[in-house]
Amino acid sequence: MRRNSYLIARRTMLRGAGMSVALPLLDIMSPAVSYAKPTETPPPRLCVLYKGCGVNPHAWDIVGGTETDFELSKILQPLAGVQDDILVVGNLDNEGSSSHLDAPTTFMSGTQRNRVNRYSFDQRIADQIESDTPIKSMQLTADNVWKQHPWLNILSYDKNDQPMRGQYDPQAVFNTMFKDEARTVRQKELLSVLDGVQAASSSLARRGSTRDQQVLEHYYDSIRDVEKSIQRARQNSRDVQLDKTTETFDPNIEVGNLGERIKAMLDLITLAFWTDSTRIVSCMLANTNSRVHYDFMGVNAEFHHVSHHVRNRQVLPAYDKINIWHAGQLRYLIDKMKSIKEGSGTLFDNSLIMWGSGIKHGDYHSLTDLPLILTGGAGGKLDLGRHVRYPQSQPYANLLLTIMRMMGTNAKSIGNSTGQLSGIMEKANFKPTNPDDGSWRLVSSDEKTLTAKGLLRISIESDNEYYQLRFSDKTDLEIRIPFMNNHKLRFDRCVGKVVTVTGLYKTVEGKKTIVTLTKAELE
Amino acid sequence: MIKTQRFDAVTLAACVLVFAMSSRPIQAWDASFAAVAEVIHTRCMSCHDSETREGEIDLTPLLQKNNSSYGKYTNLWIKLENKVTRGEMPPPGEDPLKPSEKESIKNWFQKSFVLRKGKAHIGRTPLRRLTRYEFENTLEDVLSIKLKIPYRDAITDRIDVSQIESIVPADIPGESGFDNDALYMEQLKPPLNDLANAVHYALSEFSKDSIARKAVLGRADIPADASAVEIQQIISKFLLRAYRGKREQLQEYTKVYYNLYQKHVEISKDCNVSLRHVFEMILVSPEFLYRFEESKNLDTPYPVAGLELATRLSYFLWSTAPDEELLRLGRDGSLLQDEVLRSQVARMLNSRKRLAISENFAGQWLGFDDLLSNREYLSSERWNRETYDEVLFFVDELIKSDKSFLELIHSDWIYKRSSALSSDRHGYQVVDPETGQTLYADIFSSRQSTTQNERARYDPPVLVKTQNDREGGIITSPAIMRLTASKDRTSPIRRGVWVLSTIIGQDLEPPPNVPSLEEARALQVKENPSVAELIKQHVSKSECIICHKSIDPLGLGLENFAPTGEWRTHYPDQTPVQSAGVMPNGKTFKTPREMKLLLLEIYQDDIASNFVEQMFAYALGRKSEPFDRVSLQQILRAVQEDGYKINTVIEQIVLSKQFRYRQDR
Repeated sequence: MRRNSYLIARRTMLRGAGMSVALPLLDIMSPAVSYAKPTETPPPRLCVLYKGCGVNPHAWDIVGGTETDFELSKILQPLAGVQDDILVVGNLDNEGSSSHLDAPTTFMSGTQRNRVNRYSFDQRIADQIESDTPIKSMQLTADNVWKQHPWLNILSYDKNDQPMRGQYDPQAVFNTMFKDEARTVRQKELLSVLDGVQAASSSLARRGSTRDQQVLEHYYDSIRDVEKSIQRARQNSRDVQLDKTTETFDPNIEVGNLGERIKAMLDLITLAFWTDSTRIVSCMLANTNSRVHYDFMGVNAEFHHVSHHVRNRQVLPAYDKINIWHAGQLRYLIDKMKSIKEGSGTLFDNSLIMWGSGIKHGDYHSLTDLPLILTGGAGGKLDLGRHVRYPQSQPYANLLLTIMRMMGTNAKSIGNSTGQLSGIMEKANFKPTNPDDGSWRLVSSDEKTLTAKGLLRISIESDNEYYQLRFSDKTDLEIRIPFMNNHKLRFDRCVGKVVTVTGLYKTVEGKKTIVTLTKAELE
Repeated sequence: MIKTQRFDAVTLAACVLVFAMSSRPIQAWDASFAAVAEVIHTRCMSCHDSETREGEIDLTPLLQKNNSSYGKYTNLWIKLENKVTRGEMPPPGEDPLKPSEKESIKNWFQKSFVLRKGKAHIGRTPLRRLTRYEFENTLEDVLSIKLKIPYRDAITDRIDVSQIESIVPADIPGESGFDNDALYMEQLKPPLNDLANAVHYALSEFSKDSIARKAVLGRADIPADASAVEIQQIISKFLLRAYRGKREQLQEYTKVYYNLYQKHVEISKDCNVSLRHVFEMILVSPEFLYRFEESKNLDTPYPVAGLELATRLSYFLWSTAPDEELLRLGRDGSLLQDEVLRSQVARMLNSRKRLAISENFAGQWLGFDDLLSNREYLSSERWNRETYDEVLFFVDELIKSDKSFLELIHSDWIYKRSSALSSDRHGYQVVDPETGQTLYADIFSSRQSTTQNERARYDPPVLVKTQNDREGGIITSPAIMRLTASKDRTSPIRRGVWVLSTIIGQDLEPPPNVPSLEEARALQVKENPSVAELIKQHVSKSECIICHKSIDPLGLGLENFAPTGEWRTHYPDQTPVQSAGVMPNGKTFKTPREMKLLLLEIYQDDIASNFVEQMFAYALGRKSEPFDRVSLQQILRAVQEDGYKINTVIEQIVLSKQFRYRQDR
């Protein structure tokens, strides 16, 4: 059993004890910390960060460039300076259209909506890897539970399809990791209580119907869960070696707005990884229907409201601003992890961070071409500093499978996966896509309908968003269709591809414009 | 226009006839299904087959006999029956259904979904587990201690949660809309670690409180030389209390827990500590956390025992365990009699514990509990508590003064927060002219502020008569106005939807065809359209107007209320607020008062049946199903005849079969 220990300098301790601690937390655990040198390579950690409400594709998509030489898009600007440390992945589809309601679940389990078993990929990893951490995995959330849609705030589900609620209070998270002494005594007591309850129920006839008995199984499962997690914590307990002159280490962590809460959570994740308290964390930064008001960073609106930026063009600047801010939080985490030495490198080198949203287009709720960033060295497995856009769309579940393998499981599949993804652990080296073979043009047309083939782009001009079909003669056919028309045909996913469209058109200022699509076929 | 999927009605009739001649009992069944299938095929398929799928509805599965009853397509059947009964389908413009066609659908629904084997039934009774709210209350009563945050009469700028609330996570509402949805809770693992820690905390408070110990155990301290019999008596007494009066197997339970006590005390050498340990086991055991009822494993309804009825009653009205009187009447069976049951309901609604209905039922249904529990709605402690209390006291007043629940929509009185009354009373009468007493709910009289610190003083809201045509009911209360807006702006659609779904009970679904703003340009709406102009687009499309003719006027009618509920005549950008509106029946309104009166005029039946259904779901721990229809109709009739009083709703639900019986399958 490997014991890890860390020292905490006295001055930083006293600053913390009993008073409200200013963030960031890690400043209280200063440079005088050392991770006991392990004999093997430090184990890889997985951090999944969910930022709901999608993006404005125009502000997210990286246009042009090559795999290793590309310009960051508007939303990704905060990551300039760590561009060599990120991998932006594009053209992964999670099939079908979704509402806000399913996105976190499909993001974590790679399933279709309404699938019964939502066993999430982080829990599959946690269940399989042999880790001697005191805590099996952590679930955190910075966003609120909204009573109307309470399941929106849940990312992880265990193998019995039980939702794993995220901890909202940073103090509680801290206490789980560090309040060792009081805990040990309590743990012993709790085991005894649960033993007693089980003894009592086994010797007494159980009442209730057959169905009631089945429900009780969940109760006994819960007892077993508690016993297992206590056992685990005891076997792998951490020694906190405090400076002898210090009495207690008991910071009072208080957070106000979302910004403070997110930073606290990111600090705690870093602390958790650094002290090897756990190796699997999922955190909800913004849930998929987030009603949080972003006035704390200068945007006087709710995130969800501004995500519907097509119906309501005015909110687009606010929407982009919030997403840019979120990218900045990822930057904060990257910087923090890079600053902590571990083994022969840093904590960053040994972690795998996945940051993304369960939907792409904030208004259309498309599940194609999800916005995703992978970062962290993953113990040398992740090849960073790249933008990979798959020429043919790939199942998003393949990414989950790839990560599951990178984290050391022998998983064969998850959700609707078809295999691992190339281009994650090594260069993709894709050939340029969609070469023009001269066949992009108006194919046929009558008074009301026309058919055309070309390369589809999305276009934003001042506050106008529409599609353009590029012909071989370099002219464009405009496509301006209603929201639901797009939604039903999943037309959004054709952007960046060669597509043959058929639809009703109007002639506006001498130019034909498609106003209703009846068919869209990809090449 | 009938599409591809034809089947020969003649052949079908022939089959039915052949069948009829071979087996008589099935004949009627098959014939009525055939009739329904025929209606669906001829009148619905043109829009709702698997290809066209208007509004995303495909009715073809319902043509198959094996989908004709409870199963995968139950919700689709409910939707179909609902639309047909209300005359919403076929849609305007199409020929309506013939009376015989409507009848065949109604009959089929009645046979398949309301009745079972021709008889009324109550569906499976789920096993109920204590919600966090009930758990905390029950611990308070069993241990005779206070755990909840006391009502404060001074502002401290913090809205605290109790220790129990910070240890145990909040429950998640189920389909019923309430966190006591037993069908949902049945699927979840209880958070035993947290519940045990909460019990541990409660017991540590108990051990510091000698009065509580005396009340519960009979003596404040157990001497070290207490005999085995004495300890067993104490354990037995505690078990009876914790297990809500169950005497069956009491001796066996006592023996088991006494053995566990003995094992523990051998090491601890301290009987108080070991007793506490055993109490912790008892309060974490299934018999405490779950409300078990004796089961006969039947698929037909049978009455619950007196003690079980006592438990159901106290958790419905008080969200806690039954008191001594209820236990006595439950045990000797008198509670099973109508008159006794009625008089107990009256007694319980007279007790301060009835606050659970306003806090727990109304707090969840109307959503105003978010004011104290959801950060996003926090303005200041004073503002949040005041607006919360205004609604809380209002609901309680309905119970206390035996009023109609329709007053939630419109009333000539409200509870108004002190800060709005402090300087100029604006003519509000805060004192009863006859007695000189502050007009106050009786169970809240102890909440009168005692602090001398004027700035920190928090006086609860007082009962006043309304003085203008804006106030009245709770829809226009600052609480609801804030909860249906975001911090910086109002949304008429959000508010309109809230009124329609929460109060009126309509099942609104996301729109099937929302056009982009480009089409709005075609309507020549300005660059930055006003709210009313934006909403005007809704009337331009047939698929929009179906719902928006109901939603929009309600939301627009509330536009004079800013996000925090103050009255405004202009938006922040100085454009004037236009809030007059036209209801779906063509009648117009100019003021909130007029709008509320119209709401009652147009939607009274829906409001009443929605309220009954909501309270029913809360009482039973599950959403209502088609087979509850007979009972719900009876309750509604009685409520209507008695002036829509809230207490009549409560009493009628308690007297219903669902409440007094159980069924296992």
